[in-house]
Amino acid sequence: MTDDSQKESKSIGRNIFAEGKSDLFKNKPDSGKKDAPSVDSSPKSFGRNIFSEVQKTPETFKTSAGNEDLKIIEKSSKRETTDKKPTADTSGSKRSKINAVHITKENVTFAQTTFDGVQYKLTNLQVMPIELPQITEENLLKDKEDPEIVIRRLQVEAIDKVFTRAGVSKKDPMIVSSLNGPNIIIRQLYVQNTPTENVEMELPRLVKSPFNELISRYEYIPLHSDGMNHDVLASIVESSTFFNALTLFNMSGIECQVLDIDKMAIVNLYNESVKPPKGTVSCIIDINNDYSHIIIIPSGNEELYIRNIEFTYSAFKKMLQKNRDISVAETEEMIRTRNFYDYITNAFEAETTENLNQHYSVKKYVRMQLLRELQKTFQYYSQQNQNKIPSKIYITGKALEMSKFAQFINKNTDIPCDKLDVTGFFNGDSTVLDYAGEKESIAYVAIGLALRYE
Amino acid sequence: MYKFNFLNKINLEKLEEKKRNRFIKMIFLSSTSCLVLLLIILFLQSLNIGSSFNDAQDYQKRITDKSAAFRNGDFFKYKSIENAYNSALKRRSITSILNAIETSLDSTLILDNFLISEKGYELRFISRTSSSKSQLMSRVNMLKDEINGKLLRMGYINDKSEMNLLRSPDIKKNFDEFQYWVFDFGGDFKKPAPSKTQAPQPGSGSGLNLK
Repeated sequence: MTDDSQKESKSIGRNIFAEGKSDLFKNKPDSGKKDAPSVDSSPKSFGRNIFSEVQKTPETFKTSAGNEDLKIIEKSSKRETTDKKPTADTSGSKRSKINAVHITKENVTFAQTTFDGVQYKLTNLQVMPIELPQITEENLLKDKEDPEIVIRRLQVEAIDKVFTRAGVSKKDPMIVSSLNGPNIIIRQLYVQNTPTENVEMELPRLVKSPFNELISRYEYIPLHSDGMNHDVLASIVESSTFFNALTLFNMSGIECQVLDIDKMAIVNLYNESVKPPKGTVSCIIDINNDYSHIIIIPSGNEELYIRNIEFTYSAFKKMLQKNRDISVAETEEMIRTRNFYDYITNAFEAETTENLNQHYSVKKYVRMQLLRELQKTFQYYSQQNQNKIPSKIYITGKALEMSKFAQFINKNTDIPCDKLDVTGFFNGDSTVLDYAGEKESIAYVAIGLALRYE
Repeated sequence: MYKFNFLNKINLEKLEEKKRNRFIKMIFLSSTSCLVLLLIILFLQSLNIGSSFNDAQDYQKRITDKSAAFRNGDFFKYKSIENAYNSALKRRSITSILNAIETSLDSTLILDNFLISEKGYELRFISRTSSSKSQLMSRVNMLKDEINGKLLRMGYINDKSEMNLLRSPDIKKNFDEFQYWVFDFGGDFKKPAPSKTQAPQPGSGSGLNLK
């Protein structure tokens, strides 16, 4: 711990990405060009590059993080990929409207889109926050109800309100929702010498589930098939996650026809929003209240790669609150207003006590759970995909509520970083679009789920 | 676009179940409707809705013809059946004959013997009387006429086959002033011709008319 803090203190105020002399960053794209598929062999040097630091001890990384990577790195073994032709689930593609509902513990979001064959139109957006009852001295001993049940009840109530406000029936023939949370693994696989009808049976053998095999649900979407060889995107979901979602739908009376994964909604949202040219590799840092991901999205022959990270909004908020010894509201205000780069400076640490810094080190948390994970993700991806790393980073979710988070990422990775535009590509009523822009940190998954037309 | 749907299998199962239920429902409805239709038809038939008087006459004629054809052609197809029928016709009631004789007797006469065969019969009487033979003969003649009349009425004999005196009275025994006279009667039954059946005529009622 002491060693770490001393080691981290050396990097304060420096760009941790700039000193990339390692092979890893020789083909790094030019950060000054947006979405440029070309790579720059001489990256700019603004300070220390966290990638080069890890590159110095590759063996240590492999051994210490080996088991952990099995759990959190959703990546298949290396193989030659051919042209990936996403074959989408066509269910609902012929409907006139798609109603997407995204349910979390904090919000229920509803988005409705139509598609005229050229452009999407956002016709309806409803965001219903779920207000958990505040624990007071009066109700502390009285309220014995299970918090999970309380949340479930509040979710059902919020779903009712959302559908009522949207004027959409819960029995609508096209309702899309998603599974979310950390217990969802997505990996791109190359299945060889297997008939199409046997691909699903082969999945448990090819992708070892980090959960119990018996309680894991496997799904896949074919990306490219060449007779007996298939390029597929496989997902493993813990059954409890799946059945919790079904239970919630049953309780709320929703007849859901499509159950996607929120990560895929973000990927689809990115593709629709950015429309990346072929060969582009981009990254999305998706920060949520209870789970976060780093998603590397190719637009060519590379693999889609998703990594769950421990850096979540709630954990960060809790760490910051403890470090400062302030209230929740004050902590949220601090996150909204204070430059994110401050959290890894000595000056920020000097504002609180040494004891709190030692036990609740925000700097260490940000560096280890965010920057180091980002570094490991890029490193792994580049190793598996001909030294390619993302040419641009997009941020979504709660990251948008963190002050200057994009600049922080940009400064530490030397890769251009911006928020993902979730409304710019839409046609439609400006009122709805303005509202979507206002609620973009919450509504983006629901909007992504509603993009299911061919 | 990457689009998972974890409800694909469930949706397919639901669709299959829906199709299966629809099929079962269709089978059930069609079979039920067929059954109901059949019941309605049977009910209407039981009410004879759709038949007329002429049809009924035709039915009766057809049944009569068939019955006659059966009896002419099939019922007496086998000779043994015909023989049994005829022998049954020839069988006479002995009790009725005895009854005819007994009612003709008085206290001086007893029936001593009675022989009956298919063709004829013989009767032996014993009379206990103190009368003379001429008186007894007149009594015997009266008895013969009386018995003949009764048998004639019962149809066992006809005018040509009346009962006759086979043996005139003879004294068999004397006891005090009385004598015991013995005399015999005899005769043939009329010959019944073997009968064949005729089909019942319309309006003659059910059953067979035997001749």
